[in-house]
Amino acid sequence: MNCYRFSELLSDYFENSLSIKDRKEADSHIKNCESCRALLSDVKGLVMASHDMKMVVCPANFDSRLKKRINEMSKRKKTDPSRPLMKFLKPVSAAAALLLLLSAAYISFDAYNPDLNPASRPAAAGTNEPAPDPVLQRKVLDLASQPLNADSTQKDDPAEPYKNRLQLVNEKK
Amino acid sequence: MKVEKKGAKYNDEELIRSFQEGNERAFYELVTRYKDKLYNFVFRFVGQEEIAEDIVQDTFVKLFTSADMYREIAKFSTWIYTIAANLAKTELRKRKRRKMFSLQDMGLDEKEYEIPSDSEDPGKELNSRFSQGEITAAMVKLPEQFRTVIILRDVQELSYEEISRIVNVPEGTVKSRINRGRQKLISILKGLE
Repeated sequence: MNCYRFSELLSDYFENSLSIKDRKEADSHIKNCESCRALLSDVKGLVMASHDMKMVVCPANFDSRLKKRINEMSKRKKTDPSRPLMKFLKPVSAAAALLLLLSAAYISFDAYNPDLNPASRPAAAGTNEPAPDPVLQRKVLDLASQPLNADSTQKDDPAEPYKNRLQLVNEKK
Repeated sequence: MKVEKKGAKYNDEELIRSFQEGNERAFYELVTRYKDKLYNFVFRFVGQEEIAEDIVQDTFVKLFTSADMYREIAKFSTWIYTIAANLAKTELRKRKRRKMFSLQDMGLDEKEYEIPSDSEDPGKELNSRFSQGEITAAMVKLPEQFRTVIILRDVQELSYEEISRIVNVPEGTVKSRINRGRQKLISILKGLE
């Protein structure tokens, strides 16, 4: 055991809580080490002096000051007109905030994903199924009403760029 | 409700439960039991009587207003020491911040600590070469983490288990801090720090 190790175990040594093995090694170390012996003696003296320190007590008027403070605090609470209302207000406002949050979440979900929520559309007359989406219906009707001409076909045909490439490939062959 | 039953006192946990049910006498019985212990602890920690008294008053006011928060998971003594320790640490931090901005020189006249007014001769050597006054002054110079555990262990004589719960660190850490704190205290007393 060296001095560093002994200093780590010092309090346990002093309080007699070391293992038998560590105790033997510590005993052997301090027999031969004056500085560790002195340190142990200082720690013993310090701890005993701390135990013996006279307890400082509260000033004589401590109790009366505390009672006065608590009475004033209690009076302030009783005369506070908002007190009964505040007791009621906290849980109610928490519940209202939660309801608002849930409603906002539901509305935004419905606005972004109307197709996913067919229940949000009223059922078609005479059926139990939800009515077709009016926006989608409009798109279909617009497309159907457009005349078929070469220009518009060419413009709208998504395969157009690739058709030209196919032509080129065929010509090369 | 009386605070003493036939031939025996109510324990702290019974008293706090009684106070939670509305018995203010139980509260004042707890004040009587703990005010001096807490004052002794806080005074050793902050080093000034007036501030120590304010902190202990605040501790009991907090107990009065927040008694509902106590649950019998921990001992009542652990709970109230924790409140007092936290208030004392907060006060120390406030003082540190004030010092940073203070234009006043911290000369020798500026006392950081007081010798307790009702103590015996502060120069009298107790069971060692160190006087009570010297030890009190040296304790205030210890870093906060050592100071708390040293006072709780060597002055208040609490168990490692209880100290561990009050400062909210493992027992091993408490023991290590006490060991290092004692050696640091000796260095301060010898004028080496």
